[in-house]
Amino acid sequence: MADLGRLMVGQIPSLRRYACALVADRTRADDLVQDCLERAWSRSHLFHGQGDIRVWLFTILHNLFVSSVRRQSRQPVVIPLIDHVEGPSVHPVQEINVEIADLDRALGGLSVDQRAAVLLVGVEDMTYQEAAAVLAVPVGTLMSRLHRGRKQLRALMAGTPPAHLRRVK
Amino acid sequence: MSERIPNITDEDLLGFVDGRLDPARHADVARHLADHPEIAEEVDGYKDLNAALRAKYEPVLEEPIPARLLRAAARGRVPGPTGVRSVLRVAALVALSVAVGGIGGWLWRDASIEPPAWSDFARQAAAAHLVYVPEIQHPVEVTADRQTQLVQWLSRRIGARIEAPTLSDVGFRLIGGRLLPAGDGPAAQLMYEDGAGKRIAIYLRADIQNDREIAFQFTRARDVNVLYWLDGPRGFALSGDLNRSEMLRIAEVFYDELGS
Repeated sequence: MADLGRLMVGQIPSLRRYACALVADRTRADDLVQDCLERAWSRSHLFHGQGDIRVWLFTILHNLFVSSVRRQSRQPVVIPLIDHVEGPSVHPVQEINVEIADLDRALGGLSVDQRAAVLLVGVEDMTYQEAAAVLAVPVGTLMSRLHRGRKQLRALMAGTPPAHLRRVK
Repeated sequence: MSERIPNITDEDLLGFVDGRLDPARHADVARHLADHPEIAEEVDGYKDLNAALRAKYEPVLEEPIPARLLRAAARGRVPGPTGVRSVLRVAALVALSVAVGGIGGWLWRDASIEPPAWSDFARQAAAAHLVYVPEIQHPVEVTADRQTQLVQWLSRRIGARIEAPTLSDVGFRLIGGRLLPAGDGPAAQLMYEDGAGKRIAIYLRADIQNDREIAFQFTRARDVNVLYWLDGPRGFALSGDLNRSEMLRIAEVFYDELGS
């Protein structure tokens, strides 16, 4: 069997990135990753080395996330609005910050399914097949969530100045 | 000449945004977009969205891994000798990272704190990489066929035990090493190559003004990926054109051989 601990360590940076984008709160994001690694060990008999460690760990993390969202008694997902600029007036100088804050807020405005699809493909660079495996849905479903998620995200961002989607870097 | 473009679906547009189409289909979509500026604008918007999302979350990858996560990755028990070894190995990693509490790497980013002597280390390793790795005629001073002499010589000169671990598991073989100046003292560089001619280097010093242990840190210096760690005065830096998880895998082999 492949050296599971080592494989898991190698995945931690991207698991953290994904968790961070899912929940925005950094401590909660790391809690999620920690739960994921512990859960993975408790189920290590299900992992047979040949499988894709990344898909396996992301699946565990995603399922933990979904059940934590459910546990919060169907309350809407909390979206921190740190640094969010209040009110309708926007100063051009702050465009970049506004952009980031809006991106956070807009992501929070997507359904969990759509957010996951947009992030797994767009940020984690997974193939449609990999992302579909993580979310346990057919590829067609994944693609339609991705499409709707991106449309929605663009619509949510549309209230900001035209430059809002220019590359941040 | 008006070529008929086979029906472009939403799936094609998605695949175009994500770069998942085969070249012929990609070209179809590109021609379609040229004729339909309103769709092209939408597609550009999605691409920008991806770029903005990546730019926003990319920095998380560069952060030191919190100790509690390394501990969680090491917590498992796998039966058999390999399992025990692997757990020990990760446990060693954890010990290293716990020693700094996972914050060592962060402290000096605070402007009020003076950067420590080792903050230059990754840049020195990157510089050594850039000078010698592309070299065709003389990438190394002593070649791998004299590995025993190479290792003894470098160990003696930098004043710390050096080993040249076998990296055949990850597809690399030692081509040799060299001694080079670093700041006020000596540094050693070992170079490895894979079947396709891709090279990586490990850079070592044993005279760094540092009395702590600094867990694995990723950085990108002068266009080279560097993964480095320090154990008191001894510093180790792996450099190469590999992604983070590949670097981490290789670094762990070195860590096992050199870092303890």
